[in-house]
Amino acid sequence: MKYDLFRTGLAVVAFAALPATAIAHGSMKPQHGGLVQMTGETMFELVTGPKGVDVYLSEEDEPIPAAGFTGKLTQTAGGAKTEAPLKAAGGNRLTAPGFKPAKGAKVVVAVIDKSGAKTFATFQTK
Amino acid sequence: MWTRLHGLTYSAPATHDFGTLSRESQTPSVAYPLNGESSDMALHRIAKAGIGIVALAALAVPASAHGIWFAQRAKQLALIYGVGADDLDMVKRLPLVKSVTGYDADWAPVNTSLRAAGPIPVVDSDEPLAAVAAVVDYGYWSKTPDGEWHNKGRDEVPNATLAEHNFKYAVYLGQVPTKPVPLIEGHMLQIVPADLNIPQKMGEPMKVRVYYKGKPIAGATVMQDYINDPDEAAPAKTAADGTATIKLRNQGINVLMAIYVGPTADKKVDHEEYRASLAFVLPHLPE
Repeated sequence: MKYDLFRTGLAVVAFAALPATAIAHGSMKPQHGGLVQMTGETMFELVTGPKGVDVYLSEEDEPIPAAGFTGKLTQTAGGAKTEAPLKAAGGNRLTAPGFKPAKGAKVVVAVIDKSGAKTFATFQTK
Repeated sequence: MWTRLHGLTYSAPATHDFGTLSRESQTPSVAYPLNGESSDMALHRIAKAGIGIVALAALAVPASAHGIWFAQRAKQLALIYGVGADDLDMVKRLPLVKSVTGYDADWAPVNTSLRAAGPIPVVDSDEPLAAVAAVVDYGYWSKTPDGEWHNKGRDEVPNATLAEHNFKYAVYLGQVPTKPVPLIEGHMLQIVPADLNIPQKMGEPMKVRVYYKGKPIAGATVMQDYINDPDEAAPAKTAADGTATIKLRNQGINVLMAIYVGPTADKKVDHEEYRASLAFVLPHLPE
């Protein structure tokens, strides 16, 4: 599958967030019923609820304190882009209150750690 | 089919101390074990000396032999300056970066910049990138009869035996292109995959095409592994259609480097030397 060719590189350089099942840095099983993506060694879980969108971060099955990150959601749907900030909400959760992903939209999660390093994960909503 | 993309200009930080660039070698001093020294201490000193030799040997390579490429560093994509295993100080060379450009999978521009993260410049972008490119103008370099290189043109070094203007380019593919890699604005020399399908396995042949000023160029050198075989004995040369076939050497990062020396109307130098990298990663097996 051509897609596989650069997957490793993609995953680790914070390029496009592509499913990285070839990289075993912890379970890819959702812990909160959401969608999961692995970028490098960081697992993102995107959870959509009635109050907005939550993003959970973990590495090798260990939660990463969200307080160390700032973030942003960027949704592309029907050619239009909308953005929402992600704020730490305790534990390993970042949240965008009131954000409603559209069906079939591309949602890019960008998180920035305190060193300034940015990591992306891209989700396709159902 | 090949389209030219416009670049986004990178503004180098004005506050950074550019320091002094060197093309010159230095003679390393080696420390030997001294009488009365413990074996551990002696080993330590030898190790230190070894490190010194490695560090100084990196300076022994003429700057014209150095190139730029993108590679992963601590989960980020970094712009590297060096040759072989030499990963030199690119942060101090940031003022020489004329452009850094990022693209999505459709080769649409994405707002992209370089950020000095400690000793390395890393790529920052508003969105995930499928490809990124950079241009460095390395300036004038003149060599005097004593073997010294000077960061000046022939106008300031009248006894120079050689004077050249060095340009360095880098393109990184973060995913298999779904469309042909376009010619990128400002890249006077560019190496691209000749075919959309890039082989996935180390050892397989890969056909590339080299463009000079937007046209396929014959006689350009193509090195197949700039990191692990920087002294490649018989690098490929491009044919009349600009193509050459190399062997993919790594099930990991591959840095191909095209090199071409072109004429110039600039009276301050004899010629212009261009080095253009194409880097991409072949995946390893699942862990």
